[in-house]
This record gives sequence, C-alpha cells and structure tokens, in this order.
Amino acid sequence: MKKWIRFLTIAGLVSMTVAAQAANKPAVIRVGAVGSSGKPFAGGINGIVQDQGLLQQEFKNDGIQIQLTLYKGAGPAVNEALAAGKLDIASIGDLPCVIGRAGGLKTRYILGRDNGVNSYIIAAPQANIHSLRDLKGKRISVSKGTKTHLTLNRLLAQVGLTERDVKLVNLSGADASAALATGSVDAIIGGADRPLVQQGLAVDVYDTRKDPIQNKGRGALLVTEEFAKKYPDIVKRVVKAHIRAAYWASQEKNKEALYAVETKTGSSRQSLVVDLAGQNLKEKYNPTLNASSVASFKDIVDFAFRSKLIRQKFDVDQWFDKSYSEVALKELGLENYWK
Amino acid sequence: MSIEKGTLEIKALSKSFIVDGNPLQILNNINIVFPAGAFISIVGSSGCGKTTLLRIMLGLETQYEGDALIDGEKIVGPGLNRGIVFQDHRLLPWLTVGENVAFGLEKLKRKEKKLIVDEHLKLVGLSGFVSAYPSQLSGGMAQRVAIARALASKPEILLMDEPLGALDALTRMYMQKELERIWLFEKISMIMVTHDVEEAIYLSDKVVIMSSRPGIIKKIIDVPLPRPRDRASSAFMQIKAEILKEFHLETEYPFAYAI
Amino acid sequence: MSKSFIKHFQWKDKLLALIVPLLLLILWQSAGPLQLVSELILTPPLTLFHTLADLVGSGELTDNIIVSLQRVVIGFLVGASSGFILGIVMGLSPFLKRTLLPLVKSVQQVPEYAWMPLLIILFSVGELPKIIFIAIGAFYPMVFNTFQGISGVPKNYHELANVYNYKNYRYLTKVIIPGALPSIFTGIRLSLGLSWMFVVGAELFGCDSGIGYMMIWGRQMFQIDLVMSGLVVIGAIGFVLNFILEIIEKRLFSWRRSFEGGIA
Ligand SMILES: Nc1ncnc2c1ncn2[C@@H]1O[C@H](COP(=O)(O)OP(=O)(O)OP(=O)(O)O)[C@@H](O)[C@H]1O
Ligand SMILES: [Mg+2]
Repeated sequence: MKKWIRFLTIAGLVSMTVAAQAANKPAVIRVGAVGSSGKPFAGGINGIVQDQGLLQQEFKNDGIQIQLTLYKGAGPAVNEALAAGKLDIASIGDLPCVIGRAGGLKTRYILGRDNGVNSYIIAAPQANIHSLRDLKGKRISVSKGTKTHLTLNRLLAQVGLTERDVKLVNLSGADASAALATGSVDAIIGGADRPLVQQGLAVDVYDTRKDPIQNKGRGALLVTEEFAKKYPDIVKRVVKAHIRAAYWASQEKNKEALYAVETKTGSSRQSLVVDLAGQNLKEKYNPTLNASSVASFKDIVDFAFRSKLIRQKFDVDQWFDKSYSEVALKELGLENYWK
Repeated sequence: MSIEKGTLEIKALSKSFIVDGNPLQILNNINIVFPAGAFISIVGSSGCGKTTLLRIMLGLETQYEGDALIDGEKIVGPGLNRGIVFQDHRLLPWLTVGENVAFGLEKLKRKEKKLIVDEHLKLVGLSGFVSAYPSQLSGGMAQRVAIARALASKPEILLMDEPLGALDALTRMYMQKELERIWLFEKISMIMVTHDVEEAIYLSDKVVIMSSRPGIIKKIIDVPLPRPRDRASSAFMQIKAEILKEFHLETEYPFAYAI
Repeated sequence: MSKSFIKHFQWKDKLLALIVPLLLLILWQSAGPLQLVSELILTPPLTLFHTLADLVGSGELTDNIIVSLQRVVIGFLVGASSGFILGIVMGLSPFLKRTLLPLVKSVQQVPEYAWMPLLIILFSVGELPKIIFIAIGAFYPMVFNTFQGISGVPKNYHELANVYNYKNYRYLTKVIIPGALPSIFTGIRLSLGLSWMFVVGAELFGCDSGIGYMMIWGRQMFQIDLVMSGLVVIGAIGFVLNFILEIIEKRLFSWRRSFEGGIA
C-alpha cells in the first residue's frame, strides 16, 4: 500500500512537471517582420538575427522551431497577422505598431530595434527645390500614415510650414519614383535608397541624418500579451537574441559586415554607406527602453491622434514592458553598455 | 418589244453550292417565264431547290449560270418591286406587329404608314394586334403578318415560300380565298412555293412541278378552270391526279395531298 | 418553371430570404465572442453599424461616395462608349475585326493592377489616370458583348434588311443595334459592375478621396471597420445600380417576355 502511494506520488509529480514543461515551451515561435522589398530578408536588427541564426541557436536545445514570416504588405499586414493570431513576436515600424495598439491589438512593446531610420527628401531637378522652405506650394509624395509622414510634418514645422501649405500625394515606393521621374510630383520623402538621385533624375534636398532622434524612424519588437503570459521565459530569451544582434551592430568594427547583411534586403551598398556616414551606431542600435524612446512614442501617439490616424490614445508607459530586456541585459552583462 | 411590268424570266439557269469543298448542283438548266399578273405555284419534294429558286428571283443569290430577268432586266439584287414572304416568318422580334408591317414603308409619313398598316392588317384578319409583339403570336398569325408586310410595300411581284404552311386547315382555306381576292384586287404577279397540291390548283394559273437532285422543272401544268374554283369538281380532281402522278413515278411513299 | 410552382414557393422563399441573412448576421455578431475570428479582423455588424452611422454623420461617407461615383460615371461613360463603338465597328467590318480583335485581346492580357502605375507615368497623378483606369475596366465587357451581339444578329435579319433596302444609319439603328441589344445590355451591366470595382483599384494610388481610398486607408490604419464599411457601401451601391439597370432592361426588352417564360 505504502509502495503504491509512493509510486502514485512520484508518478503524479513526474506528470505534473512534464505538463508544466509542455506548458512553458511552445513547439514553435511564430515571428513576423516587414519584408517590403520582396527579398526573403528582413532589415536592421531582424536581418542580423536572421543572418546569424540567433533565434535558432537560442532555442536549438529546446527543440523549439522558429517560424519567420516576412510581410510584403509592411506594417498593416503585420498588424493584420497579429489580429488574426498568426504571430507571437512581431517586428514593426513605430507608427504601425502605435496604430495597431490603438486599434485594439493586445501587444506589449518589449524592445527597441533601430532608433535611427532616416528620411530623405529628393526633388525633381527642374522643380527648383533646394531647401525645406522651397517645398511651399509643391506637390510632395508621401506614404500617408507612415512614420515618414510624421517626419515630414516635423520638418515642415521647422520652417514654419504645415501640411496645408503643400500638396500631399499619397504614393509609395516605385510608384512615387515613377511619379517624380515623370513630373507628376515635385518631391518625394522616402528612405535612403534613392536610385533616382544616382541616375541624375532627382536631387537631394534634405535628410534627417544630422537631425535629433525625434526626426528619425524607429523599429519595435512586440510580443502578444497571450504569448507573454504563457511563456515569459521564452520571451526573455527572444529579447536576448535580439540584444545580441543589437550589440553586434553597435560596434564600429562590424560596419562592413553590417552593410553586407543590409544589402541582402535589396538596399544598395552605396546608399547604406551614405546613410550610416557619421552616425553613432551605438545610439542608432540602442535597444533599451529608455526615457527617449518613451517620449518618442508618446509623441507619435499624439501626432497620430491629432492627424486622425488613430481614434483613441493609449498609455505608452503601460504598453512598454522593460522586464524582459532588463533581465536579458543583466544576463549578457550589457546592462551599462548603452547607458 | 416592251415587257409588261411584273414579268419574271429564268433562262438556262443552273446553280450549285459548295458543300464540303465540292460543288453540289442544286438547280439544273431551269427555263421558265412567269408572265405579268399570273399566279403561279411551284411544287416539288423537299430539298429540290424551290427556296433557292425564289432567292435567285428575289436577288439574294447572285452566283449562278444563266439568266434571271425582271421586266427584261438582269436581277442584280433585291428591289422593292419584289415582295417576299419567307418560309420562316422572319418578323423582327423587337418590333410590334404594326412596326413589322411598316418595315418597308420607312419613307412614308406617319399617317400614310398607319393607314397602310391598318389596311393590310385588316386584310390578313389581325386588326387588333397592331401593338402586339411577334412573341405573342401563334405561328399562323406570324405568317399572316409576314404576308401583310410583303404586300404593304406594293410590289409588282409577290414571292411566297410556303406562306400558309403554318396555318390550320380552316384558316388555311380562308387565307387561300383571301390570297385570291388580294391577287385579283392588286393585279400583281404571285409566285408561291407550296407543298399542298390542292392549294396550288385552287390558286394558280399554272403549277410548276420540280423534281430533285439536281432540281429541274419536270412539268408545267396549266389550270384553265374558272374562278372561284370548286375543289370537288371533276376537272379539279383530274388536274390533281395529273400532278400527283408525276410524284408517283419517283416517290416510293406518295403523300396523299401534301408533297 | 411554371407560374403556379413559383407562386407555391414564394412565401417560403421570402421567409428563407429573411432567415438566412438573419442567421448570418447572428453568426457574424457572435464570431468574436465565440473566438471564431478576432473582432479586429471581422468587425461585428453592430460596430459596423456604428461606424457607418458616424461616417454618415460626419459627412465623410457621402463625400467619398460622391467622389467615387463621379469617377465611376465618367470612366464608365468613356470606357463603355468606346467599347460600344469599337464593338460595332468590329462587328460590321470583317477587315477591322481581323486587325483589331487580336490587338484588343492581347492588350486585355495586361493584368488590371499593372495598369495603374503605367497610367500614372503616362498621365501623372490626378483624376485622368483614374478615369482611364476605370474606363479600361468598363471597356472590355462592352467591346466583347457589343461585338458578339452584332455578329450574333441572325443572317435572316440581314437578308430582310437587304430586301427592304435598309442601308447605313437606318440599317444600323433599326436592325443591327436592336438585334444586338440584349447582348449589348449584358455588356453595359458587366461594364458598370467592373467600373464600380475598378474605382477601388484606381483609388489605391496617389489619392486621398473616394470609397476605395477610404478602404485602403482603413487597412493602413488598422481600422478594419472602415474597410468593411467600404465593402458594404460598394455592395449596396452596386446592388442599386444593378437594380436600376434591371428595370431599364425589363422596359427595353418587353418583347422578350414570352421568350423567357415560354418553353424554358
Ligand atoms: N447556302 C447553302 N449552302 C449549301 N447548300 C445549300 C444552301 N442553301 C440551300 N442548300 C441546299 O440546296 C438544296 C435545296 O435547298 P432549298 O432550300 O432550295 O430546298 P427547298 O426545295 O426549298 O426545300 P424545302 O421544301 O424543304 O423548303 C438543299 O439540299 C440544301 O441543303
Ligand atoms: Mg424551302
């Protein structure tokens, strides 16, 4: 009898731990990121994580699969995937993730990725635009509702202009380039890749490389609340893998290798070199959730609300969850690296 | 020498169609005169080329050997001097009965048109149907509208391809009488294809008998009976027997009346 | 189907016509709570109703509808009338049919979404490329149906017109077009339907007004209720347009009455 009780107790304990283990370990982590270039490669920190297989390394011994999906439809598509419950972890731009959260997506902001995404304004040579001030009354192509849109607002404000002083045309990517080349718009605000400038079809007017960090775009790493509640430890380890990548990218000595990774997304090396020239990599790739990032996101929420991009504001402090990154930084011995 | 208006003349006419790449002779050396003002019927078994002959006279078929003349002139195409009642009634389904009858009267004023339409619809006994659509008519009614349409444009020669084929026996007899009356009244030439030997004899001055493969004119039989004709008279019966005899020689299963 | 058969089933049909959508509505409303689909993806009908009411209240919806309708009407008129003319020309002239039809068919192979960027390059941003894009959508069903209708006018009717010496304009208007009209009308219906769909595509690029833009914007701003509102509005307007066309068609083709009810 006693034997039986002992056996049952042990069996019970074993099965409980097995069950507990099963509960603390997903079979697969579903990661989503933006891959709007159409190349099977994400940009920035994600690219490094992907290139170096950091997540696979982290979870190799646990038998957890990493399932990476790149969304050509960029931020909106990632938001839709989150809403459909298809993702656990998502990498997404700053404005889209604000829009998603305001739209009711149950996510937590767990890590910053890239704080220095620059915007470039280029213009048709014959448009006679040489400075921000010259934009007055011109037709400017912008992808409405993106961070670039917010940046344009800020840049216009610097010279005392508002959106109403210019004619905004909602275009993006290749369509914007085509519109500029054919004279349908006078200027474009977009990313570092500027083939039109290289081809002599457009001239540079302004870029945010030397600007304060508020003028730059950011990337965010999100986790769904559901996943975070179920597997907090896994989330911490995902964060850890990304911090490793950020640490690698923050070092000047890895700059060449960084270009090599970034060109896999389809960006030209030349534009990358220009974009990163004189940039403080440590500042750009600082992943920590600090006062600056909180302020920046509060600012985005305000802008989005004012511009009617979102219908209600939300509390950024509540949304940010530093707990994972703090532990991970400590474990990596990097708690003071970005301070 | 002047030719009276309404005369049709076919001289040494042969016609073939290309079927599967090979010429197939349909009509062979047809010679016949349809004198002005005469009523002539053409009878013959199905497929012997009656419709083809009518189409040549109408001007819809222009590829043939020999001559087809109207009033001494070569027929080069359709003309308003010839009216036609097609084997299918061929009313335009999107036009009302009245509009169909007025189809050949485009150049007239509205009032004149209406007058002629009313007159001809009355003639074929369809006065109440001016604004009906062809899809609302029976086959026989549609055929009568087609006759009205053909007559409305006042042709010198009326060509009819089995015009009474779709009518019931009673209406048919009535219409035969009407046709005769119209013919006597309008004094125009009428050429009618029919399968009904009695009908042919009742109406015609001459009955043309055709035989097939290739179509030739086998015999032309005069009908010298006084009008109105009595179908039961022995003279009538005799002519009928004469015509039917022509078919006995070549058809294994002779039809009683209709050929 | 006989008339009495239809009558017999009419009340049942009406009931079904009510019950089925009602059940769907209930299922739709409860899809979120039942965790079938996230409410963020499939806006529940009640929320949708509120969104629509808000959009109407703010005047935003009406403005967008007017803008889109204008584009559709102009694009449709341009596209359908050129399709109509080309269809007639090809239907009447075998030579032009041989030269133009292969061309029209090969241009049709260009996928719809490929047009807009090209049109922007050619005609710059603004109303013109949108109108042309919609016109392209309206053009094809019209050209093919008109062409088919005209080539389908029975030889018998051509002969009849020939016998009565109908030529040129009179021939065209009294025989050919009426004969081709049912097919032409099918063309008009498809054409209008496509115009109304193409407007969404047209408003994808370089645009900040219209129902299509509202939907794209909603998608970008993760306000899926806007997308669904757009769908509802597009569906409703499409339905109304179709309904109007059907009434016109019924009037126009009263002569076909017994064709439909007759033998079938
Ligand atoms: N366009 C055509 N092409 C080829 N063959 C034709 C054409 N029109 C008629 N035929 C053929 O010519 C022959 C005679 O046809 P037609 O219509 O003149 O006969 P029909 O005497 O009027 O016959 P029915 O009494 O059945 O009306 C038929 O064998 C028919 O198949
Ligand atoms: Mg015949």
